[in-house]
Amino acid sequence: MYRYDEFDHAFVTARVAEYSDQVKRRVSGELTEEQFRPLRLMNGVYLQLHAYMLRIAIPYGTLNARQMRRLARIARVYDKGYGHFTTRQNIQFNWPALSDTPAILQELAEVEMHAIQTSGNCIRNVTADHFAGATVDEVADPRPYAEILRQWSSLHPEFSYLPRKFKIAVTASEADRAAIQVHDIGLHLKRNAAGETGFAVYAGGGQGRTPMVAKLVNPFVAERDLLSYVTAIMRVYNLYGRRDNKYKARIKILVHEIGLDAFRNEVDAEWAMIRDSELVLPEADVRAIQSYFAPPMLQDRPEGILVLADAFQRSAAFKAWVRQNCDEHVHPDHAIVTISLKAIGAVPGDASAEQMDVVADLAERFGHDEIRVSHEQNLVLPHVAKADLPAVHEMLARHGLAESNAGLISDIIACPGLDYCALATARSIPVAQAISTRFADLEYQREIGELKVKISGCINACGHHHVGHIGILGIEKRGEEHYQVTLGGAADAATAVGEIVGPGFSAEELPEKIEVIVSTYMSNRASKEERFIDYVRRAGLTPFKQALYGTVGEAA
Amino acid sequence: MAELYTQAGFAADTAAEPLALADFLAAPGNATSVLLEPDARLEGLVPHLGQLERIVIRFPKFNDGRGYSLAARLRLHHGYQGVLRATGDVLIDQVQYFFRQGFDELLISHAPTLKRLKDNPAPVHHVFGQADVPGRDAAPAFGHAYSWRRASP
Ligand code: SF4
Repeated sequence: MYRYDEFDHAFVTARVAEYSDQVKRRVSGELTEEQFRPLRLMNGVYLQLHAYMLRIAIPYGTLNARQMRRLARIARVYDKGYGHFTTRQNIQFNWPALSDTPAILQELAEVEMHAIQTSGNCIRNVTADHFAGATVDEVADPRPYAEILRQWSSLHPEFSYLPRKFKIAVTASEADRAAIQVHDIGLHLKRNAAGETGFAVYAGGGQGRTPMVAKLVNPFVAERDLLSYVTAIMRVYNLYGRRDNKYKARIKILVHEIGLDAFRNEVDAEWAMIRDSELVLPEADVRAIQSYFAPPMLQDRPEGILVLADAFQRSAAFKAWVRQNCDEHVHPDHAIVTISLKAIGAVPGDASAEQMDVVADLAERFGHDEIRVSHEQNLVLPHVAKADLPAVHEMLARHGLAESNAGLISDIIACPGLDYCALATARSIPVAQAISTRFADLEYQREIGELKVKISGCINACGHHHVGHIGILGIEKRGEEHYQVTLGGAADAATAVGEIVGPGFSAEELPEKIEVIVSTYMSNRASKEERFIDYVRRAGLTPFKQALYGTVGEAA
Repeated sequence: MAELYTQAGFAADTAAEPLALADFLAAPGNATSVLLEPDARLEGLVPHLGQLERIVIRFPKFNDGRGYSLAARLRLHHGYQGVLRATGDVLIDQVQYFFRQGFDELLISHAPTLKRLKDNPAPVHHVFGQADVPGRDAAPAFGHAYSWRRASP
């Protein structure tokens, strides 16, 4: 992974010193909360419902064991013993004291981490496929490009006061595990017919109150042109994006209002001016950054097949876990392990300090010192020898980390909601817990198959409900929490925004209604191969409306 | 009272009042300075850049970043070499961004910002990651290049 040099150390150290001074001035009263607000936000410190929250960047979701242990230490010393992994591959601490935040940032700087640009109207943490560098289905590792974009966008003087926050995601696989089409810019690393590397560039995707699937702006931008093309998009957006209304300020609205062709023309005109400027990315630069991401030296471990066969005989639980949570690795003797942070009834994405330490140990002993955070709020060990899987599983199981539910109905994405978030209109965590408890039977979950449930506590959609196969949005209705259900959303290669199925439900009704939805699918699917999302695409909402409301015309 | 701050410190403001863009375009004459609002279109101005000594860009709110992109286009696309001045809601935390983006002078009215700048020099980080920004004081220690091109220890 990327390692800091003297430049990065100087950079984060200067930032910590500056921020410590700002906190001192705030505590002494020299700065008002209003004046302090933009300064703390630039360092990832939010004011939430009950306390300050610190959001720490995990660039493209990649961590090593030392960094994970440091997060565990911060959870223990400065928080209540746990942290929350987010859908942006970040981690949030929900209970730090403001006066401790400089010390926390100092601790992070020591392990080459920071909280810069985790908030504010700037280019946020660049996310990437959490299986990058390990999966069989990618053109190349997308993370070097994410790192190039990260360095280029850090404290960018021109793009630090955009109309609104800006999110970029990179994938190199047709399966698109980075959900690039719901980002402000989505980059799909490809090879063209001539074998050259470049990107299909999407822009204008986003969620929130006006969900939109990103449009393909350019089917192939060559690697050398990556920064000039992204700069052209940013400059057009910075100049012409709306600043009169916060809810219309994202780039998706600009693309929508002026139309894709006009947007593309603006970008092309800007690009023509800068294409051959300093922004050209020479191959040597890309190779230099790629060397930081060299794959680990994986030994042949052919005994893995036998070890697995033997362990499967002895433990059905282990077999289920391998089937569900382990994915194919480029090296046939290895596997990619998804560590579920979705134990039945637990808070999605939360990990205790002890669990973080366990994952760090496993990464060191069995995983070539690499850990990933997925946007689905799970952790990943990307390089584990199959022969080591029984030992890894045993250790995970001992610490409540071996739930075999990756991609199943209880692998729920949920935002913090009204339990923490000042913007929330309803709770999302208890709803996730209730649904996961209702479907606790793993056998039945597997029978149902792939089903992505996503829950947001308000229209800002941090829980990605628009793109959930089943999406749940918490709203407030006459002082009560009320939940609106959408079906048919997806955030993969066939990204789509879900459709509201009908009038919403109370928190008490909801788990049962979800069960009705699932049963409707189960009794009507053509075969086990027809996944929930396939069935919704084929049959539409009518059978669900009938099952939920009895009649079809009633939907509000 | 607004005061003029440059990379060399505070300086006396001897510049003439700039013309609003529309007035300038109506009768450029031999005017040497113009004031741009954040939504200014540059097309009409470009043929006259040679006669301008100073372009003033107004920032009505510190978080309206359009003026930075106007500065980028003036310097990088159109080769404007004259003085670039920022005016309006210019605050301490943006000082380094302005200089980095190629502004030469800042007309500051915000009292706490003036006080801070008088107590301490502006907090200028000499470490940045971009190669294409026009700021002339750019990162001497690391050269005018991408962060990843600098020498590693
Ligand atoms: S979706 Fe709403 S409630 Fe949930 S984290 Fe985002 S802003 Fe808060």
